[in-house]
Amino acid sequence: MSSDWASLARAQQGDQAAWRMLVDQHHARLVALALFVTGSAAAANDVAQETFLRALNARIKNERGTVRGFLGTIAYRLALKEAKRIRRNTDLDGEDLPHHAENALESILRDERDCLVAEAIAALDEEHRNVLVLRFYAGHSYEEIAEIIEAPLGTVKSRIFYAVKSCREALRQKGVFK
Amino acid sequence: MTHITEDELLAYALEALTCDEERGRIAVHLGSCSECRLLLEKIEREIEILGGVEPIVSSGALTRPGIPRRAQSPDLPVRQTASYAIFRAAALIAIGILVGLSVSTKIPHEPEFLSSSYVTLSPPNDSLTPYTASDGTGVPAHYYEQLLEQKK
Repeated sequence: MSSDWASLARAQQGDQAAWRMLVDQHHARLVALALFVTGSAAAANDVAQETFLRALNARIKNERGTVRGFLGTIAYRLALKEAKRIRRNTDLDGEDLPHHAENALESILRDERDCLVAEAIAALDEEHRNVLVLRFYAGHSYEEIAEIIEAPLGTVKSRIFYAVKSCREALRQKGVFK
Repeated sequence: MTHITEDELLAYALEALTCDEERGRIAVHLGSCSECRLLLEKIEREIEILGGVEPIVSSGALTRPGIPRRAQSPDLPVRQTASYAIFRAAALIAIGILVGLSVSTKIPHEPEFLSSSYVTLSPPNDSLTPYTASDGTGVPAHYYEQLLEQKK
Protein backbone atom coordinates (compact mmCIF):
# COMPACT_ATOMS: atom_id res chain seq x y z
CA MET A 1 0.00 0.00 0.00
CA SER A 2 1.54 3.33 -1.04
CA SER A 3 1.87 6.04 1.58
CA ASP A 4 -0.95 8.08 0.01
CA TRP A 5 -3.40 5.21 0.15
CA ALA A 6 -2.21 4.40 3.67
CA SER A 7 -2.92 8.02 4.68
CA LEU A 8 -6.41 7.79 3.24
CA ALA A 9 -6.99 4.54 5.10
CA ARG A 10 -5.87 6.15 8.36
CA ALA A 11 -8.09 9.16 7.72
CA GLN A 12 -11.01 6.79 7.17
CA GLN A 13 -10.27 5.23 10.54
CA GLY A 14 -10.37 8.59 12.30
CA ASP A 15 -6.73 9.68 12.26
CA GLN A 16 -6.97 13.47 12.49
CA ALA A 17 -3.42 14.06 11.33
CA ALA A 18 -3.94 11.91 8.24
CA TRP A 19 -7.21 13.72 7.57
CA ARG A 20 -5.50 17.10 7.88
CA MET A 21 -2.73 16.03 5.52
CA LEU A 22 -5.27 14.80 2.97
CA VAL A 23 -7.12 18.11 3.08
CA ASP A 24 -3.96 20.22 2.94
CA GLN A 25 -2.65 18.29 -0.06
CA HIS A 26 -5.79 18.17 -2.14
CA HIS A 27 -8.37 20.75 -1.08
CA ALA A 28 -7.28 23.74 -3.18
CA ARG A 29 -6.73 21.62 -6.27
CA LEU A 30 -10.15 20.00 -6.00
CA VAL A 31 -11.78 23.39 -5.59
CA ALA A 32 -9.95 24.60 -8.70
CA LEU A 33 -11.08 21.52 -10.63
CA ALA A 34 -14.69 22.04 -9.61
CA LEU A 35 -14.48 25.76 -10.30
CA PHE A 36 -13.41 25.17 -13.88
CA VAL A 37 -16.13 22.60 -14.46
CA THR A 38 -19.03 24.36 -12.71
CA GLY A 39 -18.08 28.02 -13.12
CA SER A 40 -19.42 28.62 -9.60
CA ALA A 41 -17.30 29.43 -6.56
CA ALA A 42 -19.93 28.21 -4.10
CA ALA A 43 -20.48 24.98 -6.01
CA ALA A 44 -16.73 24.45 -6.26
CA ASN A 45 -16.31 24.59 -2.49
CA ASP A 46 -19.26 22.27 -1.97
CA VAL A 47 -18.03 19.78 -4.54
CA ALA A 48 -14.64 19.65 -2.85
CA GLN A 49 -16.18 19.03 0.56
CA GLU A 50 -18.52 16.38 -0.77
CA THR A 51 -15.53 14.73 -2.42
CA PHE A 52 -13.73 14.38 0.91
CA LEU A 53 -16.90 13.10 2.53
CA ARG A 54 -17.32 10.40 -0.10
CA ALA A 55 -13.66 9.47 0.03
CA LEU A 56 -13.86 9.02 3.80
CA ASN A 57 -16.88 6.76 3.49
CA ALA A 58 -15.74 4.76 0.48
CA ARG A 59 -14.53 1.18 0.72
CA ILE A 60 -11.63 1.03 -1.70
CA LYS A 61 -11.83 -2.16 -3.75
CA ASN A 62 -8.44 -1.73 -5.31
CA GLU A 63 -5.84 1.02 -5.10
CA ARG A 64 -5.85 1.83 -8.75
CA GLY A 65 -3.76 4.84 -9.66
CA THR A 66 -3.15 7.57 -7.11
CA VAL A 67 -5.18 9.07 -4.29
CA ARG A 68 -4.93 12.32 -6.20
CA GLY A 69 -6.57 10.70 -9.22
CA PHE A 70 -9.14 8.96 -7.03
CA LEU A 71 -10.21 12.22 -5.40
CA GLY A 72 -10.05 14.01 -8.74
CA THR A 73 -12.38 11.48 -10.32
CA ILE A 74 -14.96 11.86 -7.57
CA ALA A 75 -14.74 15.65 -7.75
CA TYR A 76 -14.94 15.67 -11.53
CA ARG A 77 -18.07 13.54 -11.57
CA LEU A 78 -19.75 15.61 -8.86
CA ALA A 79 -18.77 18.82 -10.62
CA LEU A 80 -20.21 17.62 -13.92
CA LYS A 81 -23.54 16.91 -12.27
CA GLU A 82 -23.54 20.24 -10.55
CA ALA A 83 -22.58 22.08 -13.74
CA LYS A 84 -25.54 20.50 -15.48
CA ARG A 85 -27.87 21.57 -12.68
CA ILE A 86 -26.48 25.12 -12.65
CA ARG A 87 -26.85 25.39 -16.42
CA ARG A 88 -30.50 24.34 -16.18
CA ASN A 89 -31.25 26.86 -13.44
CA THR A 90 -29.18 29.66 -14.93
CA ASP A 91 -30.75 29.27 -18.36
CA LEU A 92 -34.17 29.58 -16.77
CA ASP A 93 -33.12 32.85 -15.16
CA GLY A 94 -31.68 34.12 -18.42
CA GLU A 95 -28.30 34.98 -16.95
CA ASP A 96 -25.26 35.46 -19.11
CA LEU A 97 -23.22 32.31 -18.47
CA PRO A 98 -19.73 33.55 -19.44
CA HIS A 99 -20.20 36.64 -17.25
CA HIS A 100 -21.34 34.46 -14.39
CA ALA A 101 -18.24 32.30 -14.70
CA GLU A 102 -15.91 35.33 -14.76
CA ASN A 103 -17.41 36.72 -11.54
CA ALA A 104 -17.05 33.33 -9.89
CA LEU A 105 -13.35 33.25 -10.74
CA GLU A 106 -12.72 36.74 -9.41
CA SER A 107 -14.48 35.91 -6.16
CA ILE A 108 -12.31 32.92 -5.35
CA LEU A 109 -8.97 33.86 -6.90
CA ARG A 110 -7.12 36.83 -5.46
CA ASP A 111 -3.90 36.39 -7.39
CA GLU A 112 -4.20 38.38 -10.62
CA ARG A 113 -2.19 35.90 -12.62
CA ASP A 114 -4.37 33.03 -11.39
CA CYS A 115 -7.45 35.01 -12.48
CA LEU A 116 -6.09 35.47 -15.98
CA VAL A 117 -5.02 31.85 -16.23
CA ALA A 118 -8.40 30.68 -14.98
CA GLU A 119 -10.16 32.92 -17.50
CA ALA A 120 -8.12 31.40 -20.31
CA ILE A 121 -9.05 27.90 -19.16
CA ALA A 122 -12.70 28.87 -18.71
CA ALA A 123 -12.75 30.26 -22.26
CA LEU A 124 -11.97 26.83 -23.72
CA ASP A 125 -14.85 24.81 -25.02
CA GLU A 126 -16.08 22.08 -22.69
CA GLU A 127 -14.34 19.08 -24.23
CA HIS A 128 -10.93 20.76 -24.30
CA ARG A 129 -11.34 22.30 -20.87
CA ASN A 130 -12.37 19.00 -19.29
CA VAL A 131 -9.35 17.18 -20.67
CA LEU A 132 -7.06 19.91 -19.33
CA VAL A 133 -8.79 19.78 -15.94
CA LEU A 134 -8.62 15.99 -15.78
CA ARG A 135 -4.91 16.07 -16.62
CA PHE A 136 -3.67 18.97 -14.52
CA TYR A 137 -6.17 19.14 -11.68
CA ALA A 138 -7.49 15.59 -11.32
CA GLY A 139 -4.03 14.17 -11.93
CA HIS A 140 -5.03 11.51 -14.43
CA SER A 141 -2.87 9.87 -17.03
CA TYR A 142 -3.91 10.13 -20.66
CA GLU A 143 -5.00 6.50 -20.58
CA GLU A 144 -7.24 7.16 -17.57
CA ILE A 145 -8.69 10.26 -19.20
CA ALA A 146 -9.43 8.28 -22.35
CA GLU A 147 -11.31 5.78 -20.21
CA ILE A 148 -13.24 8.44 -18.31
CA ILE A 149 -14.38 10.42 -21.32
CA GLU A 150 -14.61 7.31 -23.52
CA ALA A 151 -12.46 8.70 -26.28
CA PRO A 152 -9.41 7.32 -28.09
CA LEU A 153 -6.02 8.03 -26.57
CA GLY A 154 -5.01 10.03 -29.62
CA THR A 155 -8.06 12.27 -29.22
CA VAL A 156 -7.15 12.96 -25.60
CA LYS A 157 -3.59 13.92 -26.53
CA SER A 158 -4.83 16.08 -29.37
CA ARG A 159 -7.29 17.89 -27.10
CA ILE A 160 -4.72 18.56 -24.37
CA PHE A 161 -2.32 19.90 -26.96
CA TYR A 162 -4.94 22.23 -28.40
CA ALA A 163 -6.12 23.30 -24.93
CA VAL A 164 -2.67 24.20 -23.70
CA LYS A 165 -1.72 25.88 -26.97
CA SER A 166 -4.89 28.01 -26.88
CA CYS A 167 -4.31 29.00 -23.27
CA ARG A 168 -0.68 29.88 -23.93
CA GLU A 169 -1.67 32.11 -26.85
CA ALA A 170 -4.41 33.81 -24.84
CA LEU A 171 -2.06 34.42 -21.94
CA ARG A 172 0.64 35.70 -24.25
CA GLN A 173 -1.82 38.29 -25.57
CA LYS A 174 -2.64 39.29 -22.00
CA GLY A 175 1.03 39.62 -21.14
CA VAL A 176 1.09 36.77 -18.62
CA PHE A 177 3.40 34.69 -20.81
CA LYS A 178 6.20 36.25 -22.84
CA MET B 1 20.99 23.54 -37.53
CA THR B 2 17.23 22.98 -37.88
CA HIS B 3 15.54 23.64 -34.61
CA ILE B 4 12.52 21.89 -33.16
CA THR B 5 9.30 23.85 -33.73
CA GLU B 6 7.47 25.28 -30.73
CA ASP B 7 4.46 23.04 -31.41
CA GLU B 8 6.70 19.99 -31.40
CA LEU B 9 8.30 21.07 -28.15
CA LEU B 10 4.85 21.68 -26.63
CA ALA B 11 3.73 18.19 -27.62
CA TYR B 12 6.98 16.80 -26.25
CA ALA B 13 6.54 18.66 -22.95
CA LEU B 14 2.97 17.41 -22.68
CA GLU B 15 4.07 13.82 -23.48
CA ALA B 16 1.46 14.00 -26.21
CA LEU B 17 3.59 12.79 -29.07
CA THR B 18 2.18 9.60 -30.53
CA CYS B 19 5.31 8.49 -32.30
CA ASP B 20 8.32 7.11 -30.41
CA GLU B 21 10.64 8.01 -33.28
CA GLU B 22 9.55 11.62 -33.10
CA ARG B 23 10.15 11.65 -29.38
CA GLY B 24 13.59 10.19 -29.89
CA ARG B 25 14.49 12.71 -32.58
CA ILE B 26 13.54 15.61 -30.33
CA ALA B 27 15.39 14.17 -27.35
CA VAL B 28 18.55 13.78 -29.40
CA HIS B 29 18.31 17.34 -30.68
CA LEU B 30 17.72 18.72 -27.18
CA GLY B 31 20.94 17.05 -26.09
CA SER B 32 22.91 19.35 -28.34
CA CYS B 33 20.82 22.50 -28.69
CA SER B 34 20.68 24.90 -25.76
CA GLU B 35 18.27 27.24 -27.56
CA CYS B 36 15.63 24.52 -27.87
CA ARG B 37 16.32 23.38 -24.31
CA LEU B 38 15.66 26.89 -23.04
CA LEU B 39 12.43 27.09 -25.03
CA LEU B 40 11.37 23.70 -23.66
CA GLU B 41 12.02 24.89 -20.10
CA LYS B 42 9.92 28.00 -20.77
CA ILE B 43 7.09 25.85 -22.09
CA GLU B 44 7.31 23.55 -19.08
CA ARG B 45 7.11 26.52 -16.69
CA GLU B 46 4.03 27.80 -18.49
CA ILE B 47 2.39 24.38 -18.33
CA GLU B 48 3.07 24.34 -14.61
CA ILE B 49 1.36 27.74 -14.28
CA LEU B 50 -1.66 26.47 -16.22
CA GLY B 51 -1.96 23.58 -13.81
CA GLY B 52 -1.27 25.58 -10.68
CA VAL B 53 -4.26 27.86 -10.17
CA GLU B 54 -4.87 28.02 -6.42
CA PRO B 55 -8.28 29.18 -5.21
CA ILE B 56 -8.69 30.66 -1.76
CA VAL B 57 -9.88 27.82 0.45
CA SER B 58 -10.66 27.64 4.13
CA SER B 59 -9.23 24.18 4.73
CA GLY B 60 -9.34 24.77 8.46
CA ALA B 61 -13.12 24.68 8.28
CA LEU B 62 -13.09 21.05 7.18
CA THR B 63 -13.36 18.98 10.33
CA ARG B 64 -13.44 15.23 10.80
CA PRO B 65 -15.27 13.05 11.56
CA GLY B 66 -18.81 13.36 10.32
CA ILE B 67 -20.14 16.25 8.35
CA PRO B 68 -17.54 18.81 7.33
CA ARG B 69 -18.38 22.37 8.18
CA ARG B 70 -18.95 24.53 5.13
CA ALA B 71 -15.74 26.23 4.01
CA GLN B 72 -17.72 29.32 3.23
CA SER B 73 -15.62 32.46 3.35
CA PRO B 74 -17.51 35.70 3.97
CA ASP B 75 -15.59 37.11 1.00
CA LEU B 76 -17.25 34.68 -1.37
CA PRO B 77 -20.38 36.25 -2.79
CA VAL B 78 -23.15 33.87 -3.82
CA ARG B 79 -24.86 35.28 -6.85
CA GLN B 80 -28.52 34.54 -6.83
CA THR B 81 -31.49 36.02 -8.54
CA ALA B 82 -34.80 36.48 -6.78
CA SER B 83 -36.44 33.76 -8.85
CA TYR B 84 -33.63 31.31 -8.06
CA ALA B 85 -33.93 32.10 -4.35
CA ILE B 86 -37.67 31.39 -4.46
CA PHE B 87 -37.02 28.16 -6.36
CA ARG B 88 -34.47 27.11 -3.79
CA ALA B 89 -36.79 27.87 -0.89
CA ALA B 90 -39.59 25.88 -2.51
CA ALA B 91 -37.24 23.00 -3.19
CA LEU B 92 -36.08 23.00 0.46
CA ILE B 93 -39.68 22.80 1.65
CA ALA B 94 -40.46 19.98 -0.78
CA ILE B 95 -37.38 18.02 0.24
CA GLY B 96 -38.27 18.49 3.91
CA ILE B 97 -41.71 17.01 3.31
CA LEU B 98 -40.31 14.07 1.33
CA VAL B 99 -37.67 13.32 3.97
CA GLY B 100 -40.33 13.37 6.67
CA LEU B 101 -42.48 10.92 4.73
CA SER B 102 -39.65 8.50 3.98
CA VAL B 103 -37.77 8.56 7.29
CA SER B 104 -39.24 5.29 8.57
CA THR B 105 -37.97 3.33 5.59
CA LYS B 106 -34.77 5.19 4.99
CA ILE B 107 -31.60 3.13 5.05
CA PRO B 108 -28.89 4.86 7.06
CA HIS B 109 -26.20 6.24 4.83
CA GLU B 110 -23.58 8.91 4.83
CA PRO B 111 -24.86 12.37 5.80
CA GLU B 112 -26.36 14.38 2.99
CA PHE B 113 -24.43 17.48 2.22
CA LEU B 114 -26.65 20.54 2.21
CA SER B 115 -25.52 23.79 0.75
CA SER B 116 -26.93 27.26 0.83
CA SER B 117 -26.51 27.57 -2.92
CA TYR B 118 -28.52 24.47 -3.75
CA VAL B 119 -30.53 21.84 -1.97
CA THR B 120 -28.43 18.73 -2.26
CA LEU B 121 -25.36 17.96 -4.25
CA SER B 122 -26.67 14.51 -5.03
CA PRO B 123 -29.93 12.73 -4.19
CA PRO B 124 -30.00 10.17 -1.34
CA ASN B 125 -30.06 7.27 -3.74
CA ASP B 126 -27.09 8.51 -5.72
CA SER B 127 -24.08 6.25 -5.46
CA LEU B 128 -20.89 6.19 -7.40
CA THR B 129 -21.03 2.42 -7.83
CA PRO B 130 -24.53 1.66 -9.22
CA TYR B 131 -24.00 4.16 -11.98
CA THR B 132 -26.81 4.28 -14.51
CA ALA B 133 -27.25 5.89 -17.85
CA SER B 134 -29.50 8.51 -16.25
CA ASP B 135 -26.57 9.82 -14.24
CA GLY B 136 -25.67 12.11 -17.10
CA THR B 137 -22.05 12.68 -16.14
CA GLY B 138 -20.74 10.60 -19.01
CA VAL B 139 -18.23 8.83 -16.77
CA PRO B 140 -18.48 5.08 -17.40
CA ALA B 141 -19.76 2.93 -14.57
CA HIS B 142 -17.08 0.31 -14.76
CA TYR B 143 -14.45 2.92 -14.02
CA TYR B 144 -15.97 3.50 -10.62
CA GLU B 145 -16.87 -0.10 -9.98
CA GLN B 146 -13.21 -0.89 -10.13
CA LEU B 147 -12.37 1.90 -7.71
CA LEU B 148 -14.74 1.80 -4.85
CA GLU B 149 -18.04 0.81 -3.36
CA GLN B 150 -20.06 2.65 -0.78
CA LYS B 151 -20.04 1.20 2.70
CA LYS B 152 -23.28 -0.62 3.29
